[in-house]
Amino acid sequence: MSFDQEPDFDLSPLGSLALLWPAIPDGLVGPEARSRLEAAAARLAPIARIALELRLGEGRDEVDLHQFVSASPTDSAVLKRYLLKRALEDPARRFLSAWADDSGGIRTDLDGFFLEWDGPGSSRDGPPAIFLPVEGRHDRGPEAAVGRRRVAGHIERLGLAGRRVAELLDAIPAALSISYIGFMLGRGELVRVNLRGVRPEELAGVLAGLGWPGDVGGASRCFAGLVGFTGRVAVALDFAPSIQPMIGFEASLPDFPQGEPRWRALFDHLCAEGLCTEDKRAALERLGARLRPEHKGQDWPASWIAAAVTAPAPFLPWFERRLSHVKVSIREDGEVGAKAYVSAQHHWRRGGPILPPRAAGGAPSAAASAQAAAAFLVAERDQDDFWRDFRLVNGASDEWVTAFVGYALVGSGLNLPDGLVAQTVAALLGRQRPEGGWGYNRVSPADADSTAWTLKFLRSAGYRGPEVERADSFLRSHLLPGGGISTYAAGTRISFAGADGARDDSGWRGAHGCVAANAAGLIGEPVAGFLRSSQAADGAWTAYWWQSDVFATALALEAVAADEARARALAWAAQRTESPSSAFDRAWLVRILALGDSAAREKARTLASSLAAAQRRDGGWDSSAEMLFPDPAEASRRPGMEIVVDDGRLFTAASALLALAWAREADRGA
Amino acid sequence: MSDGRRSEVQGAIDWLSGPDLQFLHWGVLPPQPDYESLARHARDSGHELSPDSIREAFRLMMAARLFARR
Repeated sequence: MSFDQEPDFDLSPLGSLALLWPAIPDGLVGPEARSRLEAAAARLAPIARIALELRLGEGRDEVDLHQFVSASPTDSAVLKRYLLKRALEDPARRFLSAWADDSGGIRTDLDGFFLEWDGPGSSRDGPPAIFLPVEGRHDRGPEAAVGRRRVAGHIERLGLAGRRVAELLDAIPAALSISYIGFMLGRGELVRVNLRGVRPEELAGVLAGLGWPGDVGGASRCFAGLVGFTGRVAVALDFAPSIQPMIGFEASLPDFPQGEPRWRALFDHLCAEGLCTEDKRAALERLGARLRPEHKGQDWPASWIAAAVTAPAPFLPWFERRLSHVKVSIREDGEVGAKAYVSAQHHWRRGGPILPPRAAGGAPSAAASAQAAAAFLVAERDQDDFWRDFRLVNGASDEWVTAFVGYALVGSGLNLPDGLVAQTVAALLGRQRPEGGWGYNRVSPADADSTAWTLKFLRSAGYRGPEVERADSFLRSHLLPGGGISTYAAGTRISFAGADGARDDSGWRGAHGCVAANAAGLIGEPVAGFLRSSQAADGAWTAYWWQSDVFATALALEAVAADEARARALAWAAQRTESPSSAFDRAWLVRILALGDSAAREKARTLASSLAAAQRRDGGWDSSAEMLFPDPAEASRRPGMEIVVDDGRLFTAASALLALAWAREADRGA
Repeated sequence: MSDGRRSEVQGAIDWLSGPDLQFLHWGVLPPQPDYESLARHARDSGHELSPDSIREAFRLMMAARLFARR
């Protein structure tokens, strides 16, 4: 991974604690523990990215301290200065020096590492554990094997955990993705391996294959419950050198509890099981915040001020404290405990995430690009068989997004992993509402658009069960006089957070061109007629839920006959190819043009090639599906509406994958 | 903002933009948001500034940087 140079300043981790403490009541971290943590943080390298590991049970007040060091040149420079000044005797010194010097290319190979101190300042205090990343989520096949060998090589060369690590990494089946390996330097030869992406049905087989000696049934039930709450749960296993009976499950969610309703369900479960006290839960649910020094009333740590005012102009500091994940551990004696990880980090950059680079060595072929896109989507699937994307006030979408991604994967015509389509069908069928439809996510009411996409996916997957008929009836219940389709039916109850009493939501119940375009292929008339009569003069169909009309126009075009309406839409699309557009729009322009004559199909192929050239190395594209979140009372789109992009990049990647398939069809038609 | 307050905050901006602060190591400055200590450092270098004016000056400098980036 490449890192742009960030400002090179020492930033005391004590500043992170200072901005964290106001959100941490004594019941979570007591005064004595605070003093010990501050003393420990003062001894760390001045990199202000730390986390606390907090016990959630009654009467448990031990706190562990973590620090993350990235592979950036800045962190390396800070570490070098730190090592010059400190006479460190602990076993981690050799590793820190090697990292700072990029000895053996370790910093070139790995993105960063975590240091973890158990109970700093307490009787449990000792040398830190080091956690190294092994495989990326999108590494697969030979790439993943190379990752394992590289890490094993660094570990052996630095003498971090003996020669058995290479054997251990070799012994873990290649089908499993190892996210991290940890060396518990304070605990003899203990090595911890974190596995990502294990589906609940697979855990028993994985544990049996590794010879795990614990209660597989109990562990599997615990794991399945957590996967049901968060979708992403890592499995932590200890080896010393044989596999140990302790097992841990790390459940993470992408947003603050205030914006992610699944945290609430997870804490309900932990509290009901006696694993978390209500007081601790309340504090953890409230603590998330992003602090910015320009905000009124915001006190920035004095020791960070010099860095802030002297950093080059493009860099603007900010700070985030957040609940990162919860870990549930089952000990050898069967006792279950829960911990929360709270991070407190200084950042220099604002804006979007740092994306992996574009593919090196020129644009991939359309076939290679499609394969990479499909692999990207497969790797992004959560362990409960749902894909999640877009973050709204009611959390990320899973039902709607899963139907769309599933439809794209099947529509790509590519070979998919065994069982993936059947698992997706089962996941969606498990969420069908009593009234027959599907929604944006579990907490949202069923709607016509999500139901239409689910029906399209089920049809493409060849599923013909009774659920389809019920869903079809539900979809038709959204028909309006004149043939339009509303997203939410008149009888659907929509709840709004924080709203007292009734709220005007007539806008969300009106006729929406984009939803009609999506449903027309399933319903036919009168929706197709509505589309023919609602085409704009310029040839497009106007979307309600989207910033651009390309998606709606492409979907509408699939449903209307090859007549004058189609010719106008094709002319509109052809014009749009002359100016730059996002990957999402380009993908759906390909759809429109692929339905045209040979000249249009040629444009579709050119656009598809440009999509392949814009693909990132992980197989995805930049987020570019701009969904709108209109006020529920607003009947039509207007400039300035809130835009929500596919921050998970799944909607864009699924669209691009479909576009590459349509371009292939256009080739055949040429 | 009154003229007096404006002048005080401007003085703090000048101090924060000047060389004094750049030579203060984070180990010297308090790690927490302690603007009393910053005011003491300013006084040591001959600048009589209140903690409040330093706080406001810093906030305005960051806001201006944010605005310039847009």
